[in-house]
Amino acid sequence: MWWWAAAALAGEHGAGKLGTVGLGPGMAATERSAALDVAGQLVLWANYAPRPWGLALDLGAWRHTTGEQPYEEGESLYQLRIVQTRAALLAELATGTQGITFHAGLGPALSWSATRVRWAGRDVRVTALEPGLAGRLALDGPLGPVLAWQWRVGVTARGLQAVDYDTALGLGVQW
Amino acid sequence: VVSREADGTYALTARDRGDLEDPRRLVGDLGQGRRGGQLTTEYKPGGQLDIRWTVDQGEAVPTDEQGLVMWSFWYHLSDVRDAVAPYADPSPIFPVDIAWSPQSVLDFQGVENAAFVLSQRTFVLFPDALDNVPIAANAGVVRHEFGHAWFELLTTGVSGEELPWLEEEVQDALALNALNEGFADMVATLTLDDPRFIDPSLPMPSRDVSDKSWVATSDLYPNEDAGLVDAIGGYDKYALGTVYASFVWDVREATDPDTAMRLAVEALVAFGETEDWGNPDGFVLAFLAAASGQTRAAACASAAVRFPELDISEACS
Repeated sequence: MWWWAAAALAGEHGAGKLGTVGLGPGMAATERSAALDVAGQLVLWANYAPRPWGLALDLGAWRHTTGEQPYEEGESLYQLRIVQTRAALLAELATGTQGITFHAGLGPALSWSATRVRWAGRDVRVTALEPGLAGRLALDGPLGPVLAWQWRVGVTARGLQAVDYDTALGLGVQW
Repeated sequence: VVSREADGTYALTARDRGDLEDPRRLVGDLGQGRRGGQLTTEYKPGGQLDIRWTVDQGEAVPTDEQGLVMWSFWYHLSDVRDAVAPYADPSPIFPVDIAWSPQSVLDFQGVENAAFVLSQRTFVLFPDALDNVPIAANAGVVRHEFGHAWFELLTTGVSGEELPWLEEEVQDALALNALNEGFADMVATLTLDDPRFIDPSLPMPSRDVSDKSWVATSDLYPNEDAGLVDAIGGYDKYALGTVYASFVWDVREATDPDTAMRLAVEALVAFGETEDWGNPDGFVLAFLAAASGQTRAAACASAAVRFPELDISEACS
């Protein structure tokens, strides 16, 4: 039902639209020392897709906090907080029917993380900038004359050492 | 690492690198850390760890919790290995695999965030959902899990081999599991001299070995008709296990941790030599036989209360 509704909207409103930009929530699974850490993420995307090719900018940000109860409340053993962002520029294959577009993209990525560890009066901060490669599969389409939706899954390599995964569903505008 | 202080509290403290040859991969004399993998009838190792850290004031500080917990586990394991060495050589247990969150069909309960897999020389650690001291970084829990490895070695004389009691009736295997849990608690409580070693992670008054109300009533033992349901968790092996540990703790209160630990080890070796796997109370009788003087008097007094249905007349005559 959802698919038919989206296809109907696409048929009515999607033709001729080349660009979308939007924002949406999702999940990011980040490779840590021993396993993947899963956290909520916020994704900003921009597409320019004169089929069959396209170009996309993809930004993601998420935070992971762990350790004892909120550090400010005292008596905490430690607190570890990691803020991570990802930026990727993707060259895409863009194809589809009417206004719904399927994107398969690949391109360079840059991941930045800020880690803060606090315990017993110590406060250690470390940042890391890790270039890598990103891949993304996405579907997007119109939700009326102006609005657009997008669902995507992505994978981002940080150097040669770590691979992160993410997915998001977003709402944006098209022109 | 997450260290236990002398007063029983926990704090992050720096440790000498010691025998941790490769901190990134968690490799050293104790064994090797692994990520994931599969745990079925044997452990199929996953990939290598990639622990990351930054250096602050000359100290390596892990930059995620998994690294912090893995390093903490390593050092607690190193500590307990050294602590028990005077009683019986634990070196045949090592090297071990330390696996972070392997895929498994075994009965790991939600609160069980560290475990030792008998006959496989493998420790498994799981992500911690609790806000307190991570269970796998709790010195008492690590010592308890090491206690299982030591139990296997002391009762069978080998480590990492097929367990002789697996061919026994379910009832007998369950009874032995209870003694296994009890001995693991003895290792944790006596080497830390703390009767409530789990509490910093998860308050569990039911595992307090200084509780005088723990008595080995008949309902704590597995039934004759014990079956698969009991084997996969229906039987509470911790209840009877806590009685064994409480019995030894009574002796510690009357003497000292060293005396109690020495007798427990001696008794467990003697029990293993009998190969009477379905009769874990044989451990109590062996303990009484190994004790002498005032220590024996204290042990007999405890056994009379803790094991009212056990005939100790000959051992305590």
